Amino acid sequence: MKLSEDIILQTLLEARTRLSAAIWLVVRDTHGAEDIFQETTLKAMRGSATFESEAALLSWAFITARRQGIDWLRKHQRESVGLGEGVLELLDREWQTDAPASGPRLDALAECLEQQPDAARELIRLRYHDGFGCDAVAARIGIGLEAVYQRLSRAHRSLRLCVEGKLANVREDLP
Amino acid sequence: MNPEEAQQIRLLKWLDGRLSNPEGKVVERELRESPEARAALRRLAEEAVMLADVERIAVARRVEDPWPHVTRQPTPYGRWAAAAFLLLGLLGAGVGILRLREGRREVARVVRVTGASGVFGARGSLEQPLPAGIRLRSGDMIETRSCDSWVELELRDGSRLTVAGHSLLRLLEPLAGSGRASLVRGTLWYRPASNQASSTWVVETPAARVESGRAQFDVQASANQTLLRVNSGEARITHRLASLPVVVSNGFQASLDLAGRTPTRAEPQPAHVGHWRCDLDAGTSVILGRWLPSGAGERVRLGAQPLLWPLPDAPPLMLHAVSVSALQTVGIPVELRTGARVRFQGRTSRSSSVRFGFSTQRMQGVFSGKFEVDVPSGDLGRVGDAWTVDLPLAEFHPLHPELSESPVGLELGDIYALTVNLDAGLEVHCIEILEP
Repeated sequence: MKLSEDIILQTLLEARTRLSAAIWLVVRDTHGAEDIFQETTLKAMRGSATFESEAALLSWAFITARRQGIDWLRKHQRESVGLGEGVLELLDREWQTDAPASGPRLDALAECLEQQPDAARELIRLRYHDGFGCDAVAARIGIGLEAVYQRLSRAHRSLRLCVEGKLANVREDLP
Repeated sequence: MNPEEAQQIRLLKWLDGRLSNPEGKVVERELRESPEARAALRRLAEEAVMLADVERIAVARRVEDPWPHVTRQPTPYGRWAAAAFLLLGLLGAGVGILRLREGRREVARVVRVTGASGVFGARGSLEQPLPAGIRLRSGDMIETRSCDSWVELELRDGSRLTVAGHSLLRLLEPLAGSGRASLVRGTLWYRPASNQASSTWVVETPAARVESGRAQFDVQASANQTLLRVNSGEARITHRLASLPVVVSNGFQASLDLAGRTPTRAEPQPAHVGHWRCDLDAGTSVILGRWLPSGAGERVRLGAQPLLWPLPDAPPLMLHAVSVSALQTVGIPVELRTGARVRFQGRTSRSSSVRFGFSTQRMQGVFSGKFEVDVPSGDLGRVGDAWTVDLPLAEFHPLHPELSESPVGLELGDIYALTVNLDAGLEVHCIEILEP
């Protein structure tokens, strides 16, 4: 049975965070990753390929997105982070079997981000939204490169703990 | 530092391309062999895209706020509905458009207008002259038609954009949280909001793409060249055919030629000078005017070009103008100093007063108004003879004294001569700023 356009869209949107994250590992640019995710989705819905199952669709999407990511790097003359094909395939496979990052998770992350100190928010914005490398981030906020890595790592950890706490509370609140 | 933090920092450095070859190989081996290491990397990547999403949603929500809108008070992020906003954008119209869009947005408001200007609405409407207070949507195009016109826009995040005379600016649909405009020709000044809420702004020119967050900068664009000067903060400029941007910091500039083969570099803005002479040679950046055959006494003659100046509830005026960009001609900022004089050499073939003027900006700053003076025909000598007028700066009147009452200490922008209504056969042979 061929998947309908609605199911294709729904499946890819559910996998959006995982798929975009896989692309980000290749391009290391969140806007580029978003563009490639959208291109991949369009291709899945309008392309000639048909998908018998959601698993087949996801497998196709991860491979296609990765190829598009490599093209994007060439087009933007950026270097690859150098992950071997084998590791990328392992990561993709694990992502395909992973539980999707749910809406409440994004919601919780947004709330947790609000609770971060301004300096941490600025750091995150510069690194992930504006796409600056850590050296440029260091220059912008006037701290050393090593300090940027440390603060970024702590921000990730703090956000992770916060999100897990909020999600646990949500689960406890369920009737 | 605990092992988990050490691993995460290693991954962050690796993703940032900061590890040496041997260190990178260790990370790769770890990723190949350890499911835990891969899980850590996947978590990091997911968090990166989700954090960027959260910022995008925040920017989109700021854009949706009604006027006036400029606060950076922390507001609770939306529930899943906020994310759904993004996803709805992704869904687009049916199966089609997977872009965040919601029709044409109001992206700017006209706060001040002077001189001849108009707006061409994206749907074919025409407002001429451009009324102050009008709200502009993506797709709308502003044209400042005369050399003495300018328009100031307030952007949705509170930033200000000033468009100089004889410029053409099209407002584009915001993309990924960035406001965008296409400067087809002319000059603009961008001043970020003072409340630190400015979003990224992108200016596309025929030759380049300029991107800035909270930088104060000005851009001058023609069909082939773009000059970016950054006066505070930092902006990026990218050649149309390149993918790597050049970062331009406070006090630096980057000039970019569409046909240029060499990579653009940011250079310190040159020191300003007090004297400038324009012989209208090949390097002159002419904004308005048409070249005339050389005459008996003059090697170069730049004749006035007609242009309409629309007026509200009245027939438009016809101007005949010559205008030159000082900065683009000389490549060095020209400072108008105390006691300086402006000298024009030219000719008129019919009796008419001539209006002389220039635009200014603060040294390493924003647009600071225009200054003009009318010289009666009698002061120009016999009709048909070449004349020289020496005009002390003090004789020029500010068109907008609220910006600056005096041109002293400001940087010269465009400089022009014109006649109103009558085509007096105005031609200019040389322009000079004389130091005291």
